[in-house]
Amino acid sequence: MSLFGFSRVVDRLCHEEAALRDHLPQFRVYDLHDPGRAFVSGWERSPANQYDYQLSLIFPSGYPDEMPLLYILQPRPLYCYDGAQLPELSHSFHTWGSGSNGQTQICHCHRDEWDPWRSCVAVMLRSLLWISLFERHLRTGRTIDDLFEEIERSIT
Amino acid sequence: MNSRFGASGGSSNLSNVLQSIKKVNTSNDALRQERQRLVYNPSTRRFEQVTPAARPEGALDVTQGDLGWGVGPPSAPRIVISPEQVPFRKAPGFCRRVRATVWDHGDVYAIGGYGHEREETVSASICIMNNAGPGSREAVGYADDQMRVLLRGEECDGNARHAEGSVKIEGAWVRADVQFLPGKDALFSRFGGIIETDALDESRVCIVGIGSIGSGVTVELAKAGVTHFILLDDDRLEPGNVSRHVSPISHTGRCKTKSVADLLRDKNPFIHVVTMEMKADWPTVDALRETVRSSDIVVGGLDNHEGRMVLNRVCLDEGKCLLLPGMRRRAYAGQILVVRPGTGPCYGCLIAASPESVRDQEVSSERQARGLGYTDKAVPVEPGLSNDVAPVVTMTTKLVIQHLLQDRATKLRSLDADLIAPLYLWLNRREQDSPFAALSPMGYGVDEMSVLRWYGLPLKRHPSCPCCGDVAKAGPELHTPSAVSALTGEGE
Ligand SMILES: [Zn+2]
Repeated sequence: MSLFGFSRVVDRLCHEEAALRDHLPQFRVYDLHDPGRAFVSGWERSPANQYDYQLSLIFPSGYPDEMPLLYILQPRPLYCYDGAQLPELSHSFHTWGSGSNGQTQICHCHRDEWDPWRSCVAVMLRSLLWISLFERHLRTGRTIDDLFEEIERSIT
Repeated sequence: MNSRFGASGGSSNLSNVLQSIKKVNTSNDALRQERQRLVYNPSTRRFEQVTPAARPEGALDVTQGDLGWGVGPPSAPRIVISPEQVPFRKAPGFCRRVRATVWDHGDVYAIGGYGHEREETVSASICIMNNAGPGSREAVGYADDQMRVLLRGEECDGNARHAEGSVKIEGAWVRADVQFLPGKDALFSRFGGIIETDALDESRVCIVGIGSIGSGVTVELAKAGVTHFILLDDDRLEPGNVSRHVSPISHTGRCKTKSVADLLRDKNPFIHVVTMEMKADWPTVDALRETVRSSDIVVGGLDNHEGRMVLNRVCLDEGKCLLLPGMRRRAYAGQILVVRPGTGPCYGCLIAASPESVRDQEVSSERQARGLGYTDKAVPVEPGLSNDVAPVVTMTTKLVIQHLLQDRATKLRSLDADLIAPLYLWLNRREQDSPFAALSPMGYGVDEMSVLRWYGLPLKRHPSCPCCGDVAKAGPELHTPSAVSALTGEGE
């Protein structure tokens, strides 16, 4: 990364940190002066108080042009309504593989739809939405995709 | 009718002649393969078809000129030699062993780099010999030669060559015409007056994505005289691609890069093509960066947004001009973004200014559809017509040439003032459900926007663009969807 590229990413991360502080203070950017190591992390207690979730957003070397990856570090693993482990790669659960330690990766955006204007606040909001829908799945058995579409319909 | 024919036959044999001609016409293909000759045999006073070996004593050849119309018997075989195959400054007695590519059942024998090798080749030799005379053809070359060319030593350095060619047919040597292909300078000399022949010679163009647009632009640039290419794509040619791609159906299954590289070499043997069978992607960004660094301009004929993001990043970092041509759904429209790093807007600026133009893209292949869809939610493949892609290929080629010749005095200089826009739009039709459905028909008008014309659009550079802007100075204007925030509080 060039010096300009380096400072461009650091500037961006500083803005992301400030925006998170304003809107979602449970999250913050760690190592924000080192783009190669920086990440967002924080804990979220679910609305239904079921679990405490530790979330992490990992910035790849191409960030912000390249999409960051969103993980649920805790609880690990996650279990579905029927008691089975949450599928690793599922459109109906918006999961996108898993991390090296079995943590769930959430599909917050299709790889081919990521655009660099999307803020970390928007991404973390998406993760909170996922959690609230996941907990509703645990109560009703309905898939996250199904619930997500229902909400989309209700707001458009 | 020439004198040979006139002297031999006479009008009493006219019906024989006509029958022979008919026979020749209907059996022309077979004749070509066996390379038989139509001769007049004075001793029997008949026209006969014979192989060269069985040619009767004193027989007269009947040539195509004698017949005067239509398809006649085949002319002499032709030997075509590339300049680099001519032995340079060699002494008499020198003999170069070569392979000759055989075309059309032995009608043409090609020696050298013009055209890539076909499967059917034969052994041949090019020999230097002063004072060639009867029997000299047999005295040189190699035992398994199927083709031989004799050159006079003093002609090996110059251009005027009197070569004697022969090919072996059914064990007998038959005289063949010899043709020398022009050298590098003469090959593209017809552009003289518009651009200098060598003006594009040193330019290196990197084409990422060798689909219908990328392949078309590549071939057009080669025809204009660009001789250094880097072709990058990991896709293979599928039967479904062929209708829009420059490559033929016989190349099905080949890497698009390698197939197009062969087409370029067929067009100009002095072309230098490097092919890279890889995807433009974040995991390959370092290799991509090296490639872009060594290029003068980059064309991203990509079918995916992520690949365009990667190229945008790399070209901004390396300060290289990037063209991003693309088609909208079913090719109802085409657009070309010109990224001029440091002075103009980039792909990130376009996303902010016109997100629909980025999202509305043609889905032209199964592979692309798989990339866009999910296992339980497929995206239909709806390619547009090749004819609708062609304007984008032509305009992209124009923009590349204009960029490469920016410091040269050419007849194209006046175009500089025309091609200043960073974004170009072409509409193939007034597509329903598109922003252009309600345009007035083109008719005779010139004042209103209509289909089938190019429009240069004034896209501005965004000061806080996350890709090319200064975030620290301009402050972020990042997207934080308000609708979602209302939802996150929901629960029970
Ligand atoms: Zn930009």
